[in-house]
Amino acid sequence: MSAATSLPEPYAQSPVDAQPGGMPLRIDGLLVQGDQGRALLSVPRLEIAEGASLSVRGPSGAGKSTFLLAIAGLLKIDSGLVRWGDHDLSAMPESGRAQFRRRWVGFVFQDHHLFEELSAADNAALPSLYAPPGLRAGIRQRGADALRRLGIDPASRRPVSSFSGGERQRIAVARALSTDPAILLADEPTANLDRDSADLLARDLVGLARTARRTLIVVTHDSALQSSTDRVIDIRDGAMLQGGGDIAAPELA
Amino acid sequence: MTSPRRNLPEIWAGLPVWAQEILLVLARVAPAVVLGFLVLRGFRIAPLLGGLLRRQAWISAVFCALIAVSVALTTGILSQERGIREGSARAADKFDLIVAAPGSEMTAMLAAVFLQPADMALLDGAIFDRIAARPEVDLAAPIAFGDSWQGAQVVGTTAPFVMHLSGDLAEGRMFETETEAIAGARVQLSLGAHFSPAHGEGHAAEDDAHGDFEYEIVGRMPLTGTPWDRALLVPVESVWSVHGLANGHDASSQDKLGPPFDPALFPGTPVILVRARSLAATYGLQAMFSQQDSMAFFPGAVLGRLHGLLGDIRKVMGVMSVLTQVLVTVGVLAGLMMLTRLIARRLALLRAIGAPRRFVFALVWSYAVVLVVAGTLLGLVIGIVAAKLISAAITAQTDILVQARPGWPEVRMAAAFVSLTSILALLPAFMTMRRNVARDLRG
Repeated sequence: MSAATSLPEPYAQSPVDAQPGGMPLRIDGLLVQGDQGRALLSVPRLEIAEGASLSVRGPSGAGKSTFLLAIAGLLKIDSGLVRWGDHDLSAMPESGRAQFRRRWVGFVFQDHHLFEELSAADNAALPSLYAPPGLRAGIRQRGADALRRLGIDPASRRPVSSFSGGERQRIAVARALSTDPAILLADEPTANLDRDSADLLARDLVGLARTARRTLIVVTHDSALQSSTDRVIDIRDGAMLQGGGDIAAPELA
Repeated sequence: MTSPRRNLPEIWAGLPVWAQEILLVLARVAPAVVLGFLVLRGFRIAPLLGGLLRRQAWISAVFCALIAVSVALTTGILSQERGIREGSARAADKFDLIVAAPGSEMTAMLAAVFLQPADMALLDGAIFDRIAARPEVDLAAPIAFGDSWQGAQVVGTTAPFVMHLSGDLAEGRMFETETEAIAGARVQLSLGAHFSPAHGEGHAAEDDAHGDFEYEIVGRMPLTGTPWDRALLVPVESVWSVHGLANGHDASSQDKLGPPFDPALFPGTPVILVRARSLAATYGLQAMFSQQDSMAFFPGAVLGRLHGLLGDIRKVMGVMSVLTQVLVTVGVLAGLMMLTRLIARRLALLRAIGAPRRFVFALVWSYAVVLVVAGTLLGLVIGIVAAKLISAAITAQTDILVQARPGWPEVRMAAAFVSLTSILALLPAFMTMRRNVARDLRG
C-alpha cells in the first residue's frame, strides 16, 4: 500500500509536515490494575516502529481506552515497561509524563472536547496558552495551517458550537497537530460522525500522520479507519489477542 | 553612621498621609499579587477564563453578588460609623466648654449641642457673672431652652452666640428687640413671619401658655449641619419676660439686649456656653467652675465617650460582618468546588493534551479570584451607596449632617479580604489539580 501518493495535493510540503519524524513505541509486560487489583489491561509485548500506524479494536469495556491512556502516560502503570523512543513513561513521575505529552503527543478524542466559547483558531492553538512564550507563535501558525488544510477558515471568529460535528472533529485534529507531535493518539475519532464525514476524517488523520511519519495509534470501531492503518490489533477482556509483536512502518513512496 | 533600619520609622513619619495609606493598602493586597504572579507565571489564562465566566455566567453572577453583599455590609458599617462620628463631632465643634448645674454631663451635652429636651436645674446670675467677668473669657452666653414652636426649639441666647454659631447670617439681620428672632436654616418660616412660642416641647407643649406673645423672624442662619438648623434663636431676655420673670437688666436699661446682666435680676439659665481666649485658659476655667454649685465640662470629651461606645458597637458589628464575609466566601469556594466538578471533563482534557497541573490549578484559582475581586469592588460601591442613603435618612431625622464617604479603612479591609480569599482559593484549585484525569476524561 502506498498511502502517501493517494493524498490530495495540499498535504504535500505543508508546514504541518515540516519536521517529519515519529517515535517508536515499545511495551514489555505492561499491566494496569483497577482499584481492587483486578487486571484492566495486560500487554505482554508490542513494538511499533516510528511512523507506523495502528488500529486498536475490541468490544466496549475490553480495555482499548485503558491501553490508549496507558501509552499516553495518563494512567499509573503497575508493572511493565512503556517506552517511547528514549522516554520511559513507566519510570516517569506524573509531571514528567505531562511534559512528555505536551512535547510529543497529539490527542484526538471521541467527542472532540473543544472549548465551545472559543473560535476555531483559538481551539486549534489551545496548547499555546501554556507553552513557553517562544513557542506560542509557532503553535498558532501550525494550528491555523492545519485548519486550512482541513478545510476550515482559521480567520473565522464563529464560536465552535456553530460548526458541524465533522468540522469540530477536524478542529480537534488541528489542535492535536498544532504542537507538531511525533505521536498521534486518537480515541474513536469517527464514532460520532456520519459516514461521509467519518471517511473524510479518517483519510485526513491517517494522511497527516503518514506524510510527517508521525506514529499513529487509533482506537476505533470504524472498519474504514481500521483498514487505512498499517496494522490492526484486538483487545478483549483486557488482553491483547492478536496482531501484537512488531509493527513496522510502511515504505514511503 | 545611622543604619537604614533606624531611619525607616522617620522616613515613614515623613510621608504624607495619603502615601502612607496607599502603602498600607498595597501591603495588604501584596499577598494576592505575589500569589497571582506565582500561580499564573508563564501562562495565558485569559481566553479560557473568559470562556469559563461566560459559560457559567449565572452562577458567576450569583457568587459575585453574594461576595458583594457581604463586603458591602462591612464597608457600610465602617463608613456609616465614621460618618456619624464626624457629623456629631462637627456639631459639637462650636461648644468649647459648657457650664451647667451639677448633674449628668451627658444630659447637658445632649441638651446644649443636640438640643435634646431635658429638665435641668438653672444656674443663677452670680455664677454667670463670675464667668463673664473673667478676663480670659471671650464669650459667655446663656443658652435657655424649654419653649418651642411646632416642634422647633425656641432657644434664648445672646447675639454674640448667634454670631459664634453661624458666622455671618445667611439673610436678614440680628435681633434687636425682645420680639425678634433668628431662624435656623431649615426652619420653615421666612423673614417677616410671626410665630408664638409654646411652653415646653413636643407633646407636653402648651400652646396658649404664653398668651399672645409673638416673635418676628428678622434673620436666618446659614446651614450648619447641626440640630441648630431647626432651632429658633431669640434674645434670652424675651424668654425670661415671657415667663413673667425679670429680664436681666435694671429699670434704666429695660430695652437693652445681651450682657452685661445684673446678677440680681438674672432669673437663671440651664446652660452657659464658654469660649476662652486660649486652650490653657479653657482648661483653667473648666477646673475653676467644676464646683459645688456648677459643673464645667468639654462636650467634645463627653461626645468622645459616646463615640467610644459607638466604636465598640461598630467593632461588634464589624466582627459579625467580617464573619459573614468569611462564611459567604467559604460558601462560595465550596460552591466553586462543586462547579469544578461540572467542568472536570474540560480540565481533564487540558491535562490529557499536556497542560501542566499548574495550568489547571491557575485556571480554577484565577476564576475564584476574579469572582472575589469583582464582588469586592461591587461590594465597596454598594456599601458606600447604602451608607449614603442611611446617612441621608439620619440627617433628615436628626439634622446632624452625616456624610458617608469611601475611606481608607474600607479600602484596607477590601485589600486584606482579597488577599485572604485568594489564599483560601488555593484550596479548590488544589483539589481540582488532584482529580483523576483518566476517570474525569471518561466522564
